[in-house]
Amino acid sequence: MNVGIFTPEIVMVITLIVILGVKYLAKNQFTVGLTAVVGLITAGVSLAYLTDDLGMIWGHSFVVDSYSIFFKALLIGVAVVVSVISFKYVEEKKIKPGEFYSLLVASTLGMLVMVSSYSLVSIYIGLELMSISAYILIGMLQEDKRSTEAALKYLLIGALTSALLLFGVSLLYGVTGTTNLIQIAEVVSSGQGALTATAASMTPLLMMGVVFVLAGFGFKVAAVPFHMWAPDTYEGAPTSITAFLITGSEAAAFAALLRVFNVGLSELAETWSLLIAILALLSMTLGNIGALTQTNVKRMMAYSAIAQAGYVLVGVAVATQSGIFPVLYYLLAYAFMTLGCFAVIILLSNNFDSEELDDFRGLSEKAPMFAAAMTLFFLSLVGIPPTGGFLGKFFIFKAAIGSNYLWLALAMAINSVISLPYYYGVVKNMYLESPTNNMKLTIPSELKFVVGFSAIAILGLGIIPEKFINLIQLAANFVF
Amino acid sequence: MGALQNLFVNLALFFRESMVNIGFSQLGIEATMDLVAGIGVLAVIAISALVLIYVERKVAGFIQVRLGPNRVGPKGTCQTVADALKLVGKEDIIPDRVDKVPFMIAPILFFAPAVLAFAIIPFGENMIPIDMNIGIFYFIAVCSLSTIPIIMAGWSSNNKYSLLGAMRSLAQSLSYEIPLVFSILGVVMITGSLQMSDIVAAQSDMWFIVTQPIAFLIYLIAGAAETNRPPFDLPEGESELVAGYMTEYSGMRWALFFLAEYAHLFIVSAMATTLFLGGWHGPILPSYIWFLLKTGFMIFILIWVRWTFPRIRIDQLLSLGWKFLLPLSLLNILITGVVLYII
Amino acid sequence: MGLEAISFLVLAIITLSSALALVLSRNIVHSALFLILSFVGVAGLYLLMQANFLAAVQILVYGGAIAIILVFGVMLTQREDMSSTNLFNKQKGLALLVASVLLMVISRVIWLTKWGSITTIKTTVHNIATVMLQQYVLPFEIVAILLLVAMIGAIVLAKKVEKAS
Repeated sequence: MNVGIFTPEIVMVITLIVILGVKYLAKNQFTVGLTAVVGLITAGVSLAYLTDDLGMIWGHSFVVDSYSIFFKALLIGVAVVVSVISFKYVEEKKIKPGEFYSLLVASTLGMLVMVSSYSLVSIYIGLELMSISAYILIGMLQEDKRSTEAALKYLLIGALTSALLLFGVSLLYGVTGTTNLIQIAEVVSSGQGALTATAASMTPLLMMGVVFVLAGFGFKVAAVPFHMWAPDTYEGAPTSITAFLITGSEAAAFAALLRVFNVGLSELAETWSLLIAILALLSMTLGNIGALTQTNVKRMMAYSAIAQAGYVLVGVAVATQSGIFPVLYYLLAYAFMTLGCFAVIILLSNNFDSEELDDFRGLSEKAPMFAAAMTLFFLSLVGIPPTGGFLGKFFIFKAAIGSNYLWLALAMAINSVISLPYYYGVVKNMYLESPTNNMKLTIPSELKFVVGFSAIAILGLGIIPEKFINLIQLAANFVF
Repeated sequence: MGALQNLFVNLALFFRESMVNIGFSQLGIEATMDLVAGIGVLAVIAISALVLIYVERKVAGFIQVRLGPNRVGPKGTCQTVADALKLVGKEDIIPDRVDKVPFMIAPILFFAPAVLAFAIIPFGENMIPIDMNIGIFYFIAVCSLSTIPIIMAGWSSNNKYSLLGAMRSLAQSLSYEIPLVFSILGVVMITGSLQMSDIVAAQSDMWFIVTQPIAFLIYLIAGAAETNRPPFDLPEGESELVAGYMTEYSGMRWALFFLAEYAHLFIVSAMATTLFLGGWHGPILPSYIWFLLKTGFMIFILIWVRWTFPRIRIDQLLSLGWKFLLPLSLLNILITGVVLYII
Repeated sequence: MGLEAISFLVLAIITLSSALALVLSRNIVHSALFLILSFVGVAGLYLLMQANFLAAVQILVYGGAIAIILVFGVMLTQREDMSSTNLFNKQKGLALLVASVLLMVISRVIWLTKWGSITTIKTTVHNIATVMLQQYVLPFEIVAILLLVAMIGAIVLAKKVEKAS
């Protein structure tokens, strides 16, 4: 057994504990945040030393392949950016820094476990570690009632989600007698179940398991009709945590979802593909319509996230190799654009202590580069060239048409149009309205860096995609 | 000596054979034997409680330089019987504003785990009522059930002293259950089995008190706390809480609480004997006599502690549990593990 | 009907009826007490399936954990008015509909399935230990971190907020 394959995870556990210690020794909060960033970056760097087929151990409960390395890199990157944009925010809002950063690292650790597992048990445990850390992180603005409400809602819905997911997993385990996805696939195709007498009688139980597992993941990615918690939770949570949930938590959930359905249950693709397609349609449409009337930017981004989850689900619904690559591409681009947006929102939140649409008035005068970058991120979210968001959507679109989901592709196009007005509302406020006050913005340099980096990445993904396509295609090639 | 050694085992065999001769069915025999064992356990609990209360009062008298009970019967031996009769005769008072159903069933539920725990105590060689493969774990599980009736009693009494007593009791049992279980783990690690007969058999050469002295001390302290006995009697501290969760109870329901506490005392001592003092192992005398002697000695120590130490404060109680006993018990597990690995 | 079937029926009735009572009770402490009863019923079902270790775990974990839920129930309620501490909303009809549809679907699935039989294992302790510390050692270790996180969270959320000066 090679312990080396755990290097990133071990580094993160050490970071988690060191942060709790540093909290007492450090003079200012900045040091605590810096410790987290250094630890996360070390974990990220160690990824480079993992090579593809380092193997699977313990009955596939932990796997290192290019798919998991891709997602680990993405998730650690998200965690680094979230820590960086939190520096000032944590100080302003008087959040306890030691606990904040260590929980952030713990949540990321849960995601890493989720994305590198072929076993339903470790996927579930990873999901729980991710969620339980998130419940606490969301409620860390203790003086703010909305934050507490958000945490409570997320906790209650999360508990329900876990129950549904576990029920589904227990059904799958009951039918197949294993929690290992590869063995599940073998049992499903050979029809030699553990509990049932005949192969044909396995199907109804399996289908029920699929539905419950899908519902469990549906809650985590906030797909309609499992979305009702999302707007309140995303609005009430600390802003950087909202960004973390929308990008990290969702990406990890999608990674696990793709694994479970494409490896374990690929034989049943015909049925679950349609279910996911329906979820995708509902999420896109209701998410975009919900976003139209919002005045709080965080709430608007929450509805937008529901819609974006819908787009990604289209890729999942395609249910073949051709659907996985666009999903990964889109998730990568989506992480950059969302983090960029939230960096700008945090800047306003630090200065005005609110995240209303009106706060954006006249941003082009106060911080022209930030306004320009925000416009770019929005262009990418709508899906307009030459951005990464456009290419991501284009790939998904192509995959959907390629596998006879013409109606879904059409719905995607229509939804992109629906989404225009609310993004435009923000842009209009930034450029055409005059500022409500003359307060000068204080702009921390780390936010400048994050916004600039995200903007370059979005453009890079849009203009020179060849550099990324090969890498991502390699990662998407995980099914054997 | 051989006849005495296996007295109870042979008795059970005799019963079984005579029932076969009469023509009972297999199921009937099992049911009857279980019934007899159950009645036996209840009898042991009742008699041991009567004896223990008398012993406790006598020892208390001795420690406090007074006589103790000395009027009813020779040397006052019938005092507890008289007390018990008085309790049985009392009116069953259910106060007006209590939550009736929980109030009424709480004492019964409190008594039940005590009876259940007797099922796995090895009273002597081949004298375990049920020798299940998870023996000691069953004991832990059953004992954990005794916190809930206390809260039921405290809450349903609709009385602030009762509620406070119940809350304290919960905090206390939760804090001390962990060190208790961890101290037992040391023994389980050496034995490699949860079965009571294996644990006793593993001590035929050397008692575990020699190899696990820290665990024994932790067990003793945590055990005293689990039974709510002084110096850990905060849940019912007379000077502050009247009688804690038992404040509103009277008559037979109160007696059930009382009986269960003495049953717990017996169980904790019996388990200490089994886990650390070699169980029924001993020379010359029959195994069950040895078992009773050792258990009696443990009970005497607990009584001795009760009458010589002052009650501790709630904050002292919690910090003792969490900051001292818990790390110590973890350390004990670590050391045991390392030593076992080396050997 | 064999002894096993009768025991199963009794345990199932205890488990389900106390679960129902838990939902319908208007007194939150009663709800918590019914919850315990329901879990003890489940432990009985485990025993019936020869999984005595699991049954003991069920009793130990839930007996301890639920005591805490009970305390929460007690602490969060105003004692003057216990009859309406477990709140209801006006969507009983909808809830009934959803629940009965789910029940019908599940019953239909159970009905459609041709069940086989499996062999039970006599001693589960060693098997559980082996599986948990070999095949599933990674989830086992992750759970340790999960508990650490839960502990940090409990401390963070329970600690008094420092008043902004």
